[in-house]
Amino acid sequence: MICSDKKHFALICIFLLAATAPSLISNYGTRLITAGIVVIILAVLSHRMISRFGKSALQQETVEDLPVPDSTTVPHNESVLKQLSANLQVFPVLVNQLETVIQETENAVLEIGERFMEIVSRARGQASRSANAFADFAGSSEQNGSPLIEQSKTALSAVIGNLRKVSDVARHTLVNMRNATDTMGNIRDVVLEIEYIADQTNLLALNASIEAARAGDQGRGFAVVADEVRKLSARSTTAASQIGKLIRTVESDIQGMYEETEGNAGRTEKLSRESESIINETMDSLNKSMMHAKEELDGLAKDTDSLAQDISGIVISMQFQDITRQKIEHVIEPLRTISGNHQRMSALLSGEEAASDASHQPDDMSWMENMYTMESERQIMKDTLSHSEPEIW
Amino acid sequence: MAHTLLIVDDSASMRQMVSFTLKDAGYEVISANNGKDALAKINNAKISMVITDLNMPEMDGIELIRQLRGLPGFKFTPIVMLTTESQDSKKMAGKQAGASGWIVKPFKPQQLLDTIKKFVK
Repeated sequence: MICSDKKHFALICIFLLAATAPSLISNYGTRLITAGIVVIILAVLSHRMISRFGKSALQQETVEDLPVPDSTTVPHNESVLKQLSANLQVFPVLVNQLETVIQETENAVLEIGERFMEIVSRARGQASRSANAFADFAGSSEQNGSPLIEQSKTALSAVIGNLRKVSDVARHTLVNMRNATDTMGNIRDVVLEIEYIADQTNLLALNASIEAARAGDQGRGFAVVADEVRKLSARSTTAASQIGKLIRTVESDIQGMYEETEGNAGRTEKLSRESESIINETMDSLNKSMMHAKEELDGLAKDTDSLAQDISGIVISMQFQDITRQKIEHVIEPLRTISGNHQRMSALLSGEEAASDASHQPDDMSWMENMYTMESERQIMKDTLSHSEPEIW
Repeated sequence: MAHTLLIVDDSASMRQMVSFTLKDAGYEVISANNGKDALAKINNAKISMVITDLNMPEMDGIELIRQLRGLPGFKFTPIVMLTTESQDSKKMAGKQAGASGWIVKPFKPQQLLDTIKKFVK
């Protein structure tokens, strides 16, 4: 520094002497030419000096707190350089570590996310398959086809209907039989009338025979007729008696058939009622079971939906990884900048030409604030800086 | 027919979870990891809505919106930014580029689905 000041003093003296030299020349023309030459020489020298002085001043300003590399501070500089060199090796390691953390976290989150999505997919598939299986069996409002339970109901109702028809036919047969029995009663009356007519005819024939005998020979022919009428009357009586017997037999048969049919109809009706009751009870029980199964299935579907939503929530909450990644990247970027600054400081201390990189200086905090995207990052920066500033009362 | 949504984000995990949320809600999804990738993947697909991150390598969200708005099929397509950025100046830049909405991460699935429903009927 002292050496530099001596050089500057000597140069200034030369400038002053050169500037006053033309005034010593008496000839006007020669004095003018000499003054011009001196001005050009001084301008060139001044430019060189300003360039050198400016550069020196800039270096001094940049490393104003760093020791000047003279004989007393060289060991100290070497120590700082060593430390800077060690730091420069640390920065890439830190950056790589952080980048690895980002990559590993992302891989882990992707894998966890994929597995959770598989769980949701399986749960939804299972609930859907259960609902479809139930719909095939019990039917659903969305389904057009006749489900198994409805088909069973229809078939069993048809069986009950057929049983009722059998019972109805039997009842109808009983009515017909009763009508037939009534008709038999009418026939019996007719037979009684025939028997009465036969008896009267017989009595009439007897009277005619008596009257014919009383008439003598003249009544002999009439006696033959009367006898024939009596015979016919006897045959009529016999026929009426036979008809009466047959009617009783038919009545007895009809009565037997009636009782049997009535018994069958009663049993069929009872069977039909019992079957209907059993089928209704079974259907009620089946319906209750179906309702219960449906409720259970609805509950399962709701649980599955809830599970899927919970897992979706978990998957979504894993977006912290993206946020963490960006926050780490916002640490990596300043680390790279600080590393670049260390490199320049190291170069300056070594006396080498520092790379004219446009990196930000650590004391310029606005670039960091611009880099941050999250309000939380900006808040942390704000809080940290406000805490680090001294409080003056 | 399900609507197709274009998801653009440089984070694989974000693409995964946004796709999951949308597919679970019945949408078709095309994913891209930056603006350039998105433009390459569009082809002739009929995109009902675009959901894009802001800060991405190669081409960021703002530039993607500008380029999409220049395409005939995307003049009126809803484009929503999904980003950690919450500064008003950035939001204004997005709006000027042609963004239709802005969602700040971390987002809630229902919030995202409600926003989509506002644009995609």
